[in-house]
Amino acid sequence: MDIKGQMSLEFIIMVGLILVIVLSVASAFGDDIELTQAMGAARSGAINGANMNSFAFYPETAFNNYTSQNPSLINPSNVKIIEINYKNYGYNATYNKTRIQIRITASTPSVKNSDDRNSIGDRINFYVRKSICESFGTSNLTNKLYNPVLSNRYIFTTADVKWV
Amino acid sequence: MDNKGILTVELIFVTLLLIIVISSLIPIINDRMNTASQTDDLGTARMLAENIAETVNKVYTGGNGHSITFNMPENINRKNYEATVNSTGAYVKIDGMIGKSFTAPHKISSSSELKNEKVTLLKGQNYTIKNVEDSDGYNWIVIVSE
Repeated sequence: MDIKGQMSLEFIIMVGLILVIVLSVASAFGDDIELTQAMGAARSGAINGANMNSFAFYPETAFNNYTSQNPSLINPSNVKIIEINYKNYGYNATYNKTRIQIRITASTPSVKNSDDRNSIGDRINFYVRKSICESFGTSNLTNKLYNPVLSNRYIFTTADVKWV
Repeated sequence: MDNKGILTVELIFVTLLLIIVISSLIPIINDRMNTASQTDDLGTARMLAENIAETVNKVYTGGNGHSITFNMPENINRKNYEATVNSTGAYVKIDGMIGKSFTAPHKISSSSELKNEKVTLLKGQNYTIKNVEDSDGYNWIVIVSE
């Protein structure tokens, strides 16, 4: 019984030590994990935004705006996300976090008009920010355009979509 | 016994690390699955809008008396939807999103009284889409439920 008791005690101490080590390691890698999570969410958001333009299905308000201002967007267009990268702007004293700007590179050969492209780009960026915000559960810390998006360590913004 | 102990320590260490890594992946996986599901919904809704518009165009170009039966689906991937047709196109609304497929401009009516109007197509219903010529020689698209 004593032997079994000692085994359990050793085991508990071991688990406790390992837990402390793992948590300290996780904390050290926390910045990277958070950034990876944000970039993963950004990718999902970008695909989501591009899909809406590809299928030409929009929220009703946007649909009505496009009907009067960008009628060509009512037709499906081929929108492809080429690249998603980010630029680290360093520590931001206002938010007490590191500022990251995400830039999407996309192509849409069927849409030539720059105003239409801006509208598509704005939609993609909106869903990128929304997706990041939802992934961190910080919708209550931002405005209805999800600009900027906050996480524990970062503040995320989006640059205009680069069209190639 | 020592060997067994070392194996356990490694296992615990790796398991805890895995839990941390997997927990950070769960929101991403969830997000991707939602995106895939929404893509499926929007694609199916787009196909429905295109099919309605194509049928209306076929009936119009077929001339007076030409008709096609169109079956509306019960749902789109088990989701509720709304479909309407007016003189410029077919609209499908799903999950608060709306899309339009253009048709050639022509007058649409839901009855033989020939009143130009927006026609709502109900889920699961069969409709006869018919080309009817009025007394002035204009061709109308009449959509009536079977």
